[in-house]
Amino acid sequence: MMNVTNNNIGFENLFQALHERSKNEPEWLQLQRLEAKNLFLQKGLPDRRHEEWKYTSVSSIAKTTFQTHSGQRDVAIVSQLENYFSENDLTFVFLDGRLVRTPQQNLPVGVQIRGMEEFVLKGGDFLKPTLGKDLALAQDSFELLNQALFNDGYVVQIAKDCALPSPLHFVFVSTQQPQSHAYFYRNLIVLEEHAQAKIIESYVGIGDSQYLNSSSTDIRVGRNARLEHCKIQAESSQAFHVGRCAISLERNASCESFNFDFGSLLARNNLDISLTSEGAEAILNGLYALKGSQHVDNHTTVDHMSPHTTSSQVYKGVLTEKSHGVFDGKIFVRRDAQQTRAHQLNKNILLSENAEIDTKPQLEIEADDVKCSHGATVGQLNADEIFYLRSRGISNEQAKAMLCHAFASEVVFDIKCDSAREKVNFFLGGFFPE
Amino acid sequence: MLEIRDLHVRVEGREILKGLNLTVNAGEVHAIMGPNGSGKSTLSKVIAGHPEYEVASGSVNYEVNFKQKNLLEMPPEMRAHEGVFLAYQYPVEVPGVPNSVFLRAAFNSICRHQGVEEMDPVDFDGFLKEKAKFLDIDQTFLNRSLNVDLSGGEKKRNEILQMAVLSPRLALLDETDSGLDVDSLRIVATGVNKLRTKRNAIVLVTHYQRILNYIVPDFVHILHDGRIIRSGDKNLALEIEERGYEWILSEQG
Repeated sequence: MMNVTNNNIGFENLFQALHERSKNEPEWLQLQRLEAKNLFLQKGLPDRRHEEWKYTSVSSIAKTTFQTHSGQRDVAIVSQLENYFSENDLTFVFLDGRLVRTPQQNLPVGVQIRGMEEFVLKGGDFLKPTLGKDLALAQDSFELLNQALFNDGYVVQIAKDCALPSPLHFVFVSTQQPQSHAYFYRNLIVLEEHAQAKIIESYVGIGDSQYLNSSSTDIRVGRNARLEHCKIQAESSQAFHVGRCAISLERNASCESFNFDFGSLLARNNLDISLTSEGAEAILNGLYALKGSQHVDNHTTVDHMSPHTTSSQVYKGVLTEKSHGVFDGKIFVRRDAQQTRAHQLNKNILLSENAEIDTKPQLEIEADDVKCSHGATVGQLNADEIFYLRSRGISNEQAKAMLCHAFASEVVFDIKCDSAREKVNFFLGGFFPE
Repeated sequence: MLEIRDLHVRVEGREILKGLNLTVNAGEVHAIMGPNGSGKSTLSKVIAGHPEYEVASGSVNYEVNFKQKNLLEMPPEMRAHEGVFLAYQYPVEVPGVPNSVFLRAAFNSICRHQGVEEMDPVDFDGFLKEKAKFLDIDQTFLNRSLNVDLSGGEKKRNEILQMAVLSPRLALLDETDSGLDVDSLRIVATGVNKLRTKRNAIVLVTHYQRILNYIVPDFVHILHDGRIIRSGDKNLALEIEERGYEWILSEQG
């Protein structure tokens, strides 16, 4: 028997507007949204009795009444971010829930990119397989909410053998608003055989108002295709961010995933990687640098479904003041997935007595011929290193900032895409001023 | 320049220095020798301001530019700003902090303190390369993480590079000679001698007389059980080399 909770009234306004908003969409999608909505209303938001939400309370989201957006958008505000954009990128800007800017350059041959809103109005059948998979079994309330309410987002298709020369940058900007808004983005990336791409997603807040950003991204990396995917979460200091990303890799495909959390009051990331065929390889790198009362929860799963698949994960956290981090990483090695190699490591530095980390690395292995390791560390900065720097004239604060930067930069160093690295350093420099 | 009076120091509750007296004037080179466990390294760490060393009583006064400072009241970075430098016996490895970034941060923090203009990365790079060349240090060291993957001898040379960059007034060298081959020893000694001026002072803590052939001391002190039990000139070091410490200890009774 499912618990019917009343902690979903906060989304009532959005549900009411849904019918009007989606009436021009294909019928299958309208039905799909309706079903997701009804399932969400039955399920409600998760509470901490739920194993997957044991360390993260969403009561602050449940207490908030979210409003629909009035439709007015001041696109000029995006110019505040010019320093953050790179000329070499193909940059797409979403502002408060809607695509407002596409690149001036022509897209290379073999690349198709469309806004999700436009895409679904034109049928969007391509989307069908990723939506509504066993909706009734869906565990995640936020995913149901996203499936019911998603408005915009992006769809990227890279054709067979096409290597994208410039990085794609999707920027989701949220601005200061008098009321709390909720934005739901749905994204889809498909790399066909032998395709190559670098894709950056940035979530950036302007001002410090409260809002909810929900994004759900499905990625298919075809045979021998290569993807570098970098997500940078730098929402405003009062924002809620709920991100889901599911990446499926086919034979000999490879994906390097980077996940950075700098902003938001409360953030939850679910990253699910499926290595479906032989030779698939995934690298997962993450960094969360938290302060104040920030709470960031990273849940990752890596599913080794086939033999000769490889995964390697390093997630690092630097937590100060009263911030709270959660790392929950699961690796599954299925019975057939012999010769799997899987490594997972979560390392944390706590800079204050009130900072907290809950870390839970997990391995479930059904195959017998595999090489797997996992571990987690929680510690402070090394006192000898601090003294060494101080004895050369560097102040205590600067020494600590340098050491934190050093700890974090190991993750940044591995980013191959220059543009993504610059963007990460843009925020990292603000966190650990040197 | 440096005046230590009746210094008592405890480490983890155990008394290591038991009433040490030492006076070092500008322009002098002092060598401190002594058997293992006599308190040599403790002395250098206390002067540099390591927080694990608890000063129970006594004073450490430091005079620079005609100003008297109570060294014990100053945090370690302030001591460095005022020209105190410790070349470590075991330099700490700091992964992720490039040598050149570290040195520029240190150099500029001292500039700030002294009211001198800071050096920009390009100028500093040239300045650093010149110093490194003089000490026969491979340029690739400079961009690598501080002391990571360096051999023992390379780490010691890197300490002397830091000293050359920061040009301290009072340099304490804690067993800088141990683990060095003859060529490295000569290079290190040349670097140290370059710093030897009328305005500066050097304190060498060592087990062996060998380095004193290259850096000739004005005074040699024997440290035993937390006190200086004998002082002399360079001949004292030669005598220790030949006869060991036993004869001095037995003369002490």
